[in-house]
Amino acid sequence: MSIFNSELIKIIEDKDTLKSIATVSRDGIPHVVYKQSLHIEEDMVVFYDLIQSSQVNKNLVNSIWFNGKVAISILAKDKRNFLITGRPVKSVTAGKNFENIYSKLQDKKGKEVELSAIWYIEPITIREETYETRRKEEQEKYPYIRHLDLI
Amino acid sequence: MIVARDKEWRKKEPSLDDVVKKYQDMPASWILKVDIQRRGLWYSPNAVAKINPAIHAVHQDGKDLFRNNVDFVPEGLIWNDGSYLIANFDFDQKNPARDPYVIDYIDGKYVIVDEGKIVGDFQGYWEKPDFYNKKASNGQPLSTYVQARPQRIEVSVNKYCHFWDCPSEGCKYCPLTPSYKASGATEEQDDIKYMREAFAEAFKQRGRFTQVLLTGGSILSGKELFDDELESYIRVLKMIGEFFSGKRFPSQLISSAFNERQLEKLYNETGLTMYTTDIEVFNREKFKWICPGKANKLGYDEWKRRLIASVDIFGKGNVTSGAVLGTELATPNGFDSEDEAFENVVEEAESIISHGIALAANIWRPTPKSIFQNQISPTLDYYVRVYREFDKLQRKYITNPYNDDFRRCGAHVGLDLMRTY
Ligand code: SF4
Repeated sequence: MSIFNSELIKIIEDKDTLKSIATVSRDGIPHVVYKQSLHIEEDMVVFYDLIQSSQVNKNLVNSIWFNGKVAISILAKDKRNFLITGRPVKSVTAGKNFENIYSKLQDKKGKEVELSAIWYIEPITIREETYETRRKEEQEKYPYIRHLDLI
Repeated sequence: MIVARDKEWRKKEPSLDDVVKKYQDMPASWILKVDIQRRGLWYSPNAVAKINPAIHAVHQDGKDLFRNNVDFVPEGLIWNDGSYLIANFDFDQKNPARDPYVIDYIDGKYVIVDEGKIVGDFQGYWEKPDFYNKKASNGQPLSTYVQARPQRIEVSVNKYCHFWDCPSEGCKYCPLTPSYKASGATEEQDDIKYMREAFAEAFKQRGRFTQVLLTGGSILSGKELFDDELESYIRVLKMIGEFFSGKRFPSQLISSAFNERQLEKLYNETGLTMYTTDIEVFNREKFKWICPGKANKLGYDEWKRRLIASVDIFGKGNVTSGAVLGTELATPNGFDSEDEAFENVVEEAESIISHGIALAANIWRPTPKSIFQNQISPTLDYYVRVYREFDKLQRKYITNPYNDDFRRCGAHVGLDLMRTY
């Protein structure tokens, strides 16, 4: 069974959804970028890195080398949001698939656009982080972690 | 199955596991790459069945004089991190010093196996470029004239190295000229007309290539030493330049060490962006023994001086230097111990890197037909220790040679390490 349910896949594929990825550098400095190309392919989170010298590329290489993790935040237009944690497992930098994506990106965004790598993230956990959902969860799990005037 | 000539070799040196545990700040998958280059690799029947010459670049395509056997092995592997590993290198397949790793295909995955245990996996074999399916106007495959790596297009301009004109003067680890002679070839250079046809076809493939590389054997003739070599490269670079609208295009030349006049001519008359001249061995005395032609015709100090001078012309980050790392421990005149070699090599390397020159150091495999063919290369520990030190120095002096990095070459694995900074 897929780790992603169809509802989440639909949200991720919606063009109005905001998709960000958080990585950590070799020196432990966190870094967050938005990746609108992020989508799901065969149970993997996939996105395109367009700039070879980008910090996200450097951090992902560091993660794939040292078994590091990344966090992906998904914010739907109705404000529901999800957190996916995962592990980079593959970076495609050449080959027919790479060339197809390269051409498609240029056809869509213009001739200036480069493609550096297609990254594949294997998901480890998925959790809804929407405020209402989390609030209800906490209330059920820890009913007495509250201010007294709310009891 | 290929079996090592010394059945006890594993007892005499640290294993892959030992080295991975010892250097936890170095990527384990990268250490494996180093060791594959050191020990060589072979293919299981399952892995052979996955080689598809209609899709993959196999050794019949590239006319590479660094491999003697035309045996259809893949030209290279694509690592999971998106870097490349050249796999067409020669090693002693009859009596190697160490057992090679075995490539297998198990449960839908390409894996690397040692002593029956899976030690790593990778994405697959290099794909061939579209122009490998086409022929030149003389009916020869275009791959006769120009070859390709996953993102690099390359041409070996001079197939013969004239340091071998005096038989005892060729570099002792190098199989280029002995292989050229054994192949029965007579033309040292291909007709530029067919090279042009190959480039014209290659450049049609969108998203495939990011760099052009020129290299070849040394030519000593001319008014000044290497003048004729310089002219042959200028001629080809000018031809390639016609395909681009701007003055410069992403390109690298690996050549003999040109003097300042020659370097300026090269820079001004062509669109070249990156210059490489190989110091080969990081020690004057060992260089003299291992590369006698280079030592006699120019000398270590002058080779190094010219290398450093080229930074003033091509700029910091646009000059690299190759080496055949490990030959400094060859017998009988190499260093006596890996510790002694390490100290000397690192000190000498810093005197080069500190000028903004990154080191594209290759791993020495005693190659069939080379003078050093029956020697034994150093331990994996030595290579990782030296590369680790080079990397620290390269980070300190910020050399970043993007045009000679993990996605252009696939041989000198040391420069992969700069991907995280
Ligand atoms: S200079 Fe040395 S390494 Fe280069 S081709 Fe000639 S013999 Fe080989």
